[in-house]
Amino acid sequence: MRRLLIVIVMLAALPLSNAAQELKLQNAKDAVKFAVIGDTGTGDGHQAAVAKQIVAWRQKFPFPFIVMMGDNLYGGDGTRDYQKKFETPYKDLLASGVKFYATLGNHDNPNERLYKAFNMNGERYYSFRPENSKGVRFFALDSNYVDPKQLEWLEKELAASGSDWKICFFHHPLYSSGETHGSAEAQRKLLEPLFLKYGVNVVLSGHEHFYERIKPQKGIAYFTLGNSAKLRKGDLQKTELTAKGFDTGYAFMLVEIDGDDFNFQVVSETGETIDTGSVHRVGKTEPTPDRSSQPVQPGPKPEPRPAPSATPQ
Amino acid sequence: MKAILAPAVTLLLLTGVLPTVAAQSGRPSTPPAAPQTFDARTGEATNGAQILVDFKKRIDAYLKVHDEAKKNAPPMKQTTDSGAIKEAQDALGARIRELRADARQGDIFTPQIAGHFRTLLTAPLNSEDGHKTKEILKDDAPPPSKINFAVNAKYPSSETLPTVPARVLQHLPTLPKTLEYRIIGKALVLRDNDADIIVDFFPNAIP
Repeated sequence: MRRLLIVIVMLAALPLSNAAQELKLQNAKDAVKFAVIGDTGTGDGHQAAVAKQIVAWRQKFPFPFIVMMGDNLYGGDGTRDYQKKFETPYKDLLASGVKFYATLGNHDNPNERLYKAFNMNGERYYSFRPENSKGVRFFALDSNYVDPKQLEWLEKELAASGSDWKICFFHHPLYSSGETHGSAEAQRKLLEPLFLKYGVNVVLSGHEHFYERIKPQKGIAYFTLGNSAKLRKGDLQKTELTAKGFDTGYAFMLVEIDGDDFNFQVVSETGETIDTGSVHRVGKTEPTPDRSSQPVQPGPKPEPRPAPSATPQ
Repeated sequence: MKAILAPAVTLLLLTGVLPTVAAQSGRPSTPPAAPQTFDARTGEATNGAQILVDFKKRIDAYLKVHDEAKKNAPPMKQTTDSGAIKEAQDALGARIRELRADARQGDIFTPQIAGHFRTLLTAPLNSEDGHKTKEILKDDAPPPSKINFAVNAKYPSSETLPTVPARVLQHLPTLPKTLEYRIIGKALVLRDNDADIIVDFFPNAIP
């Protein structure tokens, strides 16, 4: 009787599980597609489990590159560390030509900038435009060391960029509800004015070992994803900043930028969808002190497939 | 007090000390918000501009050694071979150790320079939100006991490189790319990025 009950429960859970594992992105042909991972360099089973999911999801959502939020190698930077904490877990992705763009975390030796597979061009901070992308530019910063030199570089790069989508990524989250670290207010004071002045749309960070989507701040969308291999269970103290949080498992994020929409789906190491939605770019307006020149509106994106009733929220 | 500060700032600008300290990176530097003219420990009057000239001179001297060491070490260049990065880093460190075998703590952070830096660090740490800056220093810093505070010592690869609060960096002279400041416990460390070694340090930098 008990066995039968278990089978019934399992069957009842199936549609929910399948729905949660569905790709919810549009998967538009000409969209800029990528994945986001953070705080990855442990070399342990959790990193491997997330990597396995990324490979599986890439079958249905073929993205050409991944951005890394730092802490790429914990506890050392010898050849074996690179192998165990990067090359082996992401072997299949590397073999299929996926490019990784890294940023430095507080556990990283800055000389990682010289490692070609991290695509940092030998620099601690850099910018890049993905191949075949129109109007999207990424700015990778070193939030461990925001000195006047870096700020000057960033201002120059942002000012020169005519991209519609300006996406900054770096290790320390400027807004966070994490108990252990919290918001990186010192960096925020210096970076946010530049983000507002030059119309940065989206900011991606790690450092906190959980996932948090922040309610848009002054027209900018903020995501923290530092649980692609490390997890600090229960560390997310949901605050008025929190739009969505997940601190009970490991995760990565899939993104597609399709015209004025930045569609995202966050997936756990078991393949469950944790969060999904869209950031809509409203268009160019004059910047003001409290508003981006390219304000964003978060909201659910029309589903390309029937919306599952049991999407975890 | 203003009467003392104003000439100091003027002197800093006239002598071009601050821009030249940063000139290695080809950018103009922003002067510290309020350069002080008193030694934090002794309370004796000092001349901030002259001290920074001296600091720049010592940094330049180190860079000469660094460049000389590079000639006999594998190049620090982008590579797919992670082992080559470490090899180049460690070879450069070893060569610098040879060339600076006689270097001692305080060669760059002389007592006078250290005193002036303590004063510069007072502003961001004693400001209204100074407690937040102090929190950052503790946030991800390794225990000081894990670091071998010694000139030419390697920074342990198993330990975090603690984040330097941005506000602190706004108050210190900007360094050339090769070098960086790190604060561990109460000590200010000058670190060679490429060679991953401690160039100099001084204790009790943080009030």
